[in-house]
Amino acid sequence: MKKEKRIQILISKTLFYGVLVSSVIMITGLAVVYLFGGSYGGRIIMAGVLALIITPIARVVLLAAGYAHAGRPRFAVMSLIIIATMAFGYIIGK
Amino acid sequence: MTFLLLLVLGFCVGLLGSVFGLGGGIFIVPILFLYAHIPIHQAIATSLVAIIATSSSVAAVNVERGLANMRLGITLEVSTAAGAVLGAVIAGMVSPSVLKYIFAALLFFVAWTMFRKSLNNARQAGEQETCRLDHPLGTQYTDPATGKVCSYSIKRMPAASAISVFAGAISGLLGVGGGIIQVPLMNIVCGVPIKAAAATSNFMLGVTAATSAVVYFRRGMVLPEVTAVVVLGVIAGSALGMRVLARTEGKRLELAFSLIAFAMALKIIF
Repeated sequence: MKKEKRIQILISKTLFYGVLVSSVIMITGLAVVYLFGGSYGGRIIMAGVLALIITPIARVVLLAAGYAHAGRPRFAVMSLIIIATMAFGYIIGK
Repeated sequence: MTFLLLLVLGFCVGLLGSVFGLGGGIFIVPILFLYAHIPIHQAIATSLVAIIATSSSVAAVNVERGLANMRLGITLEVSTAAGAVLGAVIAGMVSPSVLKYIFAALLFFVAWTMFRKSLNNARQAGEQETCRLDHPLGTQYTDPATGKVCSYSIKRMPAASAISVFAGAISGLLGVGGGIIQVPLMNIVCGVPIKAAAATSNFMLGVTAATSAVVYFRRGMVLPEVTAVVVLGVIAGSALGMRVLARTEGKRLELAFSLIAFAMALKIIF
């Protein structure tokens, strides 16, 4: 149970900082667009969007590691299957 | 549509998302499409990114509280992720006008579900007679409103996994999180108490949405400025929702939710 709690805190922090970092990047991008216009600000925003998309992906990776470490291979394997599915979607998505 | 209106849209969606365990895509897509005149595929892409924001900010709190059942979430995510890839791929082949009608059908379904929910009582915590904590997916949590410890077991997982593939496909196809299917699925089919079901659904939405968002991102369908403004609104709305609305009575909100969904479905069709 203690190990589960540690995983919970790790995941909670990952999600919180993921949202925080991506929103800071997006606000910066919006400010650049507003002040200077052009495509540069747009590219900064896209970096923020990417950081946001990566956040749940990172939490799946960390869950895989966390459950493997906690001796619950069943859930670690499931997390890996989810990552593989995401990668598959990325590859065939184009 | 102006900067301020998009921000307000995101804010309201974030509020609703934190209360119902939904991502809010059900409102983002039609509003962007109907009122901001953004093409439906781009509206879906924006919605998916906003769903990740709602899910991540709400789940950050619910996971630490132990309200979101991570083990149940991961198990069902295997199905929703597969469905999401399928849905996103199908979306690329479907014309905008067909997508529009499928979305309207989903809105009618949501309006009907929410209307029924506003009349009936959802399964509450502690109703389960058999609480086997030795079940690998069963767990317990402390109700934030009452302080009571509730434990529950999970029933009918194979059926839940199969239905989750469909929920994931709807997500990838229409840019919604799929929470509208996941919450009642976990509540009614698996016997998860409603608060834990909403929190677990919310936890899962981010992964389901990210799976298809990756596809839309690669296709260059994410509009930077619109997305950034909506997302920032969503983050602010869900932060407030977590503090204020999580403790309020949901019945009237459900009725309002149902009416808005019904009105939007009509507007899309006519």
